[in-house]
Amino acid sequence: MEDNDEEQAMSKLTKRANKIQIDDRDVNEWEQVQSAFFEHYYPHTTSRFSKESKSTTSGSGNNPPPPTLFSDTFCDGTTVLCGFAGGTCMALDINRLSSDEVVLNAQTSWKHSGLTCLRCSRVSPFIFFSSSTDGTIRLWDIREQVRTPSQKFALDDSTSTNKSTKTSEKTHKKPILQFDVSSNDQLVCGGTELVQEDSYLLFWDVRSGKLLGGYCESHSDDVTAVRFHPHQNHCLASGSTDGLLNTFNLLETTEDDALQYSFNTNSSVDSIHWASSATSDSLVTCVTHTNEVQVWDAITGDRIAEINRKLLAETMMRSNPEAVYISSCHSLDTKGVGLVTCSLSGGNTRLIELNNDMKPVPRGLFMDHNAVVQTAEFLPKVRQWITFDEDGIIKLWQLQAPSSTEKKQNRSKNVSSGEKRIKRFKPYNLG
Amino acid sequence: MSSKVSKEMLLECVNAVIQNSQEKKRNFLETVELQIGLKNYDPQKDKRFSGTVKLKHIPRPKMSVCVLGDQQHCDEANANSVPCMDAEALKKMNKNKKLVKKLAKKYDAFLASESLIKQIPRLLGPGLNKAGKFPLLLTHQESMTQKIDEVKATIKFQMKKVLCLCVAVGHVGMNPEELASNVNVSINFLVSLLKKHWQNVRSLHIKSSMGPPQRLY
Repeated sequence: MEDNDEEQAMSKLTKRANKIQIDDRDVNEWEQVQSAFFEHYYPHTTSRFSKESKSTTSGSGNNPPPPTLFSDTFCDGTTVLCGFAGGTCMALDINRLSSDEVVLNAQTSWKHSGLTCLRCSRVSPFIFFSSSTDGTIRLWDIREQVRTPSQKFALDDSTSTNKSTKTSEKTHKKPILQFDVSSNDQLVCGGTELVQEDSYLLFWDVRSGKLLGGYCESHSDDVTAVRFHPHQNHCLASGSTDGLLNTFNLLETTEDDALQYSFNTNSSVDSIHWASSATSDSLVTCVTHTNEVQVWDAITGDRIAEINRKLLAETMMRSNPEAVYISSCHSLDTKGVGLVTCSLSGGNTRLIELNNDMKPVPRGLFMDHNAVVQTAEFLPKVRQWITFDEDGIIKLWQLQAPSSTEKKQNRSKNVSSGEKRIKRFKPYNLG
Repeated sequence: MSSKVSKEMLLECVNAVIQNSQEKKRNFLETVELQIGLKNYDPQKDKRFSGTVKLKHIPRPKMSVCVLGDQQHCDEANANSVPCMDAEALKKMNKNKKLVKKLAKKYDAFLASESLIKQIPRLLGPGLNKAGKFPLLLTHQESMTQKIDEVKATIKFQMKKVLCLCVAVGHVGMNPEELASNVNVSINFLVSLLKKHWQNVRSLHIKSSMGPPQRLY
């Protein structure tokens, strides 16, 4: 008997596996979906990247557009920085985006081979940082005509470090996987891969370029995420593939004391986002590689919420939890946390908001078919989204009011003002 | 891409693995592991990931778990003869790196009460983090023995820089059905983690510690 049950369960499982690519659809009627996701975004501009055929060494003119892997927004709110596999990065002014192809060449882009992460300065709209597997972080100024880094942060022998200086540090380069810049632009902190049984969090002074020190005890595997608190310069959160999310108080002198909390996520940390809610302004939201979201309070150390794939699929109104994919996490203008989610079966990009109780609620619908979104940026000033998908297509999304029939029920209080403002731009035909 | 693992195939392979180990008895209980080869995946560029999944049957019965508990949990642990430590004992270690390391080495996993888990970084420093054995949360609502079994039944996938990964899914002492269901749960979990699902899987093998590998996919 037991045998039979087992068999049935198994055949079910294998069947499901067979269908994974196909079996993912909207659970509800499309109208219901439209009314649940009350913000509707329509593509404003669509463009794609292309490589200039002669300028690249690989040469062939018909290169498929490179998928964008990293992005960040400059603090002026209108320029978006994006980086590609291979190490090229460029800055896009959203006001100048047209439906043409965006040409990548030596004049428009910066090159940092082995690129792993990009961050814009929180203070200056002209400065950004990039990190690479070669173990360096570079500072670039977009006003410079010469495409060379203005400052380099690297491990070198001459720097006197007061903490954790080991001989291995000098002989092995440490690939930096992710880094962040503190909110006053004073510190950069880079998380490294596991090198000879140690993985490091390294700190540099931005102004002098000097290595200040590093932590090596807190993680037992590649550090995959590093984030400073948006307002408190001494607060840092880091996440790793060992599944731990650590928070540090950098005012303490030793690593032992600086470590405030360790949260065990039971998976590996993909990205960290600081958020605030009505009760606390130091929530750490982390997206794991299993496409789950966990929210922790960095002050009390409590886990506030855990949102698994199933719940996300329900919120997205999609049938298959295994196809849920979280591409990025943002702070919305209403103080909530926004998750850009999509389904792996292609398209269906949706915006889910975590409300004050950290429950996921539907919010925005991107009204167009899309490939899986790699990364997205929210431009709070103009309330637009920019998405970069796997096919190398950049889309700028604009909020549009729902059509008159739906309008009545769907109005929710937290859209009203912004929506009105945007409506004025509705006949926005970009030439 | 429709040739996924069928149940007959799976049972056949599992039986072969168990048979091989019985033909040639070893001095220890052989572990059965699942080895996965990936494709269309660039570990340099794509994300490295890890994930944990709970299996139906315990793959590693010998795993030792220590409870770092408050008074109530310590009492419960003592009643169930589970090794335990309270806050006082942890305080005595006083962030001494050697002692923390020793503690971390002694057990395979840790559970900690809610009140204690928050203090651990301050009491012990990053020693447990370093060892990759930071405790899991044990609440008062859960039964301790159940939670311990859960920990024992949980396996972790870890993607490194190479295009293959392997994970222990059981041992040869298990009966074929148990083993097969463990393998199945693991495969499905892993596939759900991969961005392109089955299109990322190149091969699947199961093998016991000393036996020859059996190809599943």
